[in-house]
Amino acid sequence: MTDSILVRHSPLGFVLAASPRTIVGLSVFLLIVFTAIASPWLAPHDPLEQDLLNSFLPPFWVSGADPAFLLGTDNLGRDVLSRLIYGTRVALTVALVAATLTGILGTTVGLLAGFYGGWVDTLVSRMVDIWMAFPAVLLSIVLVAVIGAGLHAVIIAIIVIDWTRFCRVVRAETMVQCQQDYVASAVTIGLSRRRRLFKEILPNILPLLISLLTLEMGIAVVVEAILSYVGLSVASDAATWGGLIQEGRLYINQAPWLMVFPITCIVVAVLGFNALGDGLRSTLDPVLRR
Amino acid sequence: MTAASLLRRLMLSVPTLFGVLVINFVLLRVVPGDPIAMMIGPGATPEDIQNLREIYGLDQSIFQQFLFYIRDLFNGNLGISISMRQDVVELIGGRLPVTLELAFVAIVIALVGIVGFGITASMWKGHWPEVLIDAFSGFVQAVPDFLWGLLFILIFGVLWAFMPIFGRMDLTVEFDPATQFYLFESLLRGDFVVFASVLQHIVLPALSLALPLIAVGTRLLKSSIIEAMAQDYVQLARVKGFSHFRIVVSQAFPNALIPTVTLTGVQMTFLIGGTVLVERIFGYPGLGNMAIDAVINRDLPLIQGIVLTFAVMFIVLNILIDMTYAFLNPRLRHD
Amino acid sequence: MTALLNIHNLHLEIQQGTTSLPILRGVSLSLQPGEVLGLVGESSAGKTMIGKATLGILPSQGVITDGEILFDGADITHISVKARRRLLGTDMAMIPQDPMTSLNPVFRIGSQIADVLRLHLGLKSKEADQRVLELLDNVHINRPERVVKLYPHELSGGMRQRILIAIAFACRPRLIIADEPTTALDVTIQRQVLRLIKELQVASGTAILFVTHDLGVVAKICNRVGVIHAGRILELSSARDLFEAPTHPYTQALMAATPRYDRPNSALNPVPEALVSALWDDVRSYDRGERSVDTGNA
Repeated sequence: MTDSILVRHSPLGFVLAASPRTIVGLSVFLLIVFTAIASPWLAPHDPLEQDLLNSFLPPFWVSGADPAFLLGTDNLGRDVLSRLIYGTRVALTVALVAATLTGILGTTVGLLAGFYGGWVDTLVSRMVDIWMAFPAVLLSIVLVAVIGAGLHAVIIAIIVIDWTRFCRVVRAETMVQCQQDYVASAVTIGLSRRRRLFKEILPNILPLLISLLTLEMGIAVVVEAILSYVGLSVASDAATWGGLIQEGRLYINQAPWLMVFPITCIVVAVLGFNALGDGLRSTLDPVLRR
Repeated sequence: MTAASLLRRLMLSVPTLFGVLVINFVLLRVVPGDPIAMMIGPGATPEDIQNLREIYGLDQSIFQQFLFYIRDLFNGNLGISISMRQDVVELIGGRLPVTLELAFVAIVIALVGIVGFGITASMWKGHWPEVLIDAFSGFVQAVPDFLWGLLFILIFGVLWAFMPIFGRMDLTVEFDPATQFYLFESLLRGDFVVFASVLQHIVLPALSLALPLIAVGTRLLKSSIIEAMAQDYVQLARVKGFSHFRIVVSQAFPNALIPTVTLTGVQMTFLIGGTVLVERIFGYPGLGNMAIDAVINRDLPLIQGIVLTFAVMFIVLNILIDMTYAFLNPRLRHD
Repeated sequence: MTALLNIHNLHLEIQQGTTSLPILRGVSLSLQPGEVLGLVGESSAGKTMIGKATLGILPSQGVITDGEILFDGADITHISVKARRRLLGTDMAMIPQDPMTSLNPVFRIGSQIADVLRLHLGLKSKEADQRVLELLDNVHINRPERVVKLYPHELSGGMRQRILIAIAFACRPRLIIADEPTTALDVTIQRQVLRLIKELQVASGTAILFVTHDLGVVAKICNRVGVIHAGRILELSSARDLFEAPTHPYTQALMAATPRYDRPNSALNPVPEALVSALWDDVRSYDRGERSVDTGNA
């Protein structure tokens, strides 16, 4: 037991204990963060800079490519590589903000329901049931219609639709934790309810939360890509992966590669987040590790 | 399912439908901007606006307005689309058959895939067919659903360009349809040129919708069959002298269908929702494609109508799934 | 007269990964045509496995490591799936332990009896339906034409066991393995079901290998009885001899342990611990003997 606590609390120990999946996932995650932060220095061109004379340049391995545009250019002669690099910013923003806010909302409601039980739990459970019965597509259409297209609409849509994902898991886990001996002993030594909730239960469901959060980031990336594909996310000239796919779809016959690169980015990002989430769960969760 | 239990099931869907109606109604109220101003645009006098307010009942209380909304609904009046200046019911009536046809073909493909793969995998449990099918469904589930349409476009539309990737049929083919059910109508009329063209256009979008469902359903069916194979009645069937194939197909499979239907039912509603995006990707002129345009144009009457239509589709689908479940499970059948 | 079933020195293990657990330690027995042989023992003594090995429906971890099973003089220990299927249903059948789970819940009773008739006797559906009604009549089910249309969950446990008995006798097999067929039933039904099995057995001349833990059941139905413990048959003799003069101390202890309805106030007599540990010492030395022989060969 002491071993695992040591391992969990030292960064080096964590890396040593991590599974290959966690390491792969973490590398992808760090790569995305780095690319997003360093976009202005990494991108060889301004992502919005048009060069109509150099439109539809192919990527470097095809003859007729211009080495200045490594992955070619789009219909307006904008550099695909630079647009992809700047696209990471939108993806990461949505992933972090939406997943965090979704997590906070879902966890709070789930904790309350699991900890207090009674009518609070009944109310929350009924709400979750209704939410689950309501198809996500309908809800997001309604939401975006009301709020209007844009990044904030995407984030709000994700929060409103996906909070139940956290709520269900956290509620169940809190109930399990409340049955454990350590909570009972916390009661006997007279800790207040709030202290019990924040000092005893929350730390114990934290590993679970982290993995849920990582998985939610993958979902957020996909949702953002979908909404920017259909033109309901950020303004259309801004570089997003979904927007790039949509532009590629328009010129699929002239320049199929326009679609290939952003699809690859999304797949890599989502698989990375999922690998990180699954890996973290098996590394951090003492129950699964046993 | 008897008439009584069907009625009970229908009653259960009333609260859901009511919830959709309320949300739909509230949608029109909370949206920023005056809906009347949006309707008639700039240049209208205050008197014009006041007149319209009265016509649309906007000068009444919220509760009154809700009653008007419900009344109009029962009269089959969903309003006029702002962006297309057409009756919403007519617009939806023109697009709904397109989406229904697409969803139908997708569900047929999914069912064939699930049954075929599920039975094959459990028949050769522990051998290469199971390994291969498991790997396939694992791979499909790892890739986000919405990318499948795009990948199919790249693979079958560009790499080996032998499939159409846009629209519902070749524009060069002559067809004077009486309904919007092109696929069924051309088949019934025996017009096989049209039928082939429509079928060609429907395959890729339907497959993109079906694939995620096949992956989930195959896993479920396989594990349900394997579970059923451990039951006593399967052992008795073996002692009766039945072949392995017959035991899997005629003894375990009918039992395994029961849990599979319940759980894939949820996935089927995802499939209906997925039509919105798939139609967009393949330029398929269905309800979902229109829904996205409506949202982009903030065409509220149209959005309301489409949301309501989808909600009814979900409810009907759920009832169908419940009926299938009751049909498959004799313990729920009453005579 | 050749024996219908001849099991010789049967060894069976449950193998899981690298570990293996011996279940049968050299079982030998024979069954004459038309004879009812009882196998009595505590749970996990391995008696059920003898039946399953005979039918060829062992779980995948169950492996026959030595010995042979002869049916009608032919070795069926390791025959092919196809050859096995020619025996099952026609020559051999089974009455299962749990009537609640042994009928397929999604099919009507009639079709679950008719399918075996159609498969083995090649009956057309009309003939099969007619024969199903006769079979249900044979197992004393009232209004069979109504029962064939019902689903298993609409019948009581006793009724279902009658159906399963009808299925077992359907193609007039020469051998039936009855695996604790009355254990899941309550006492009054038990008696009716036992009487029914005996009646059908006498009428058809089918041999039955009757597996049970209940000495009372054995006394009612069997010609001969084998007492089994830890995968070994300790005593095998005619039912009368066994009950009047049991020779093995374990048999004597089992009989003493059986609660007697005619003496409700007598104390329960569990099998003495000293005897149990002596038996297990014996088993362990048997296992050691086996291993040393094995290493000697290797």
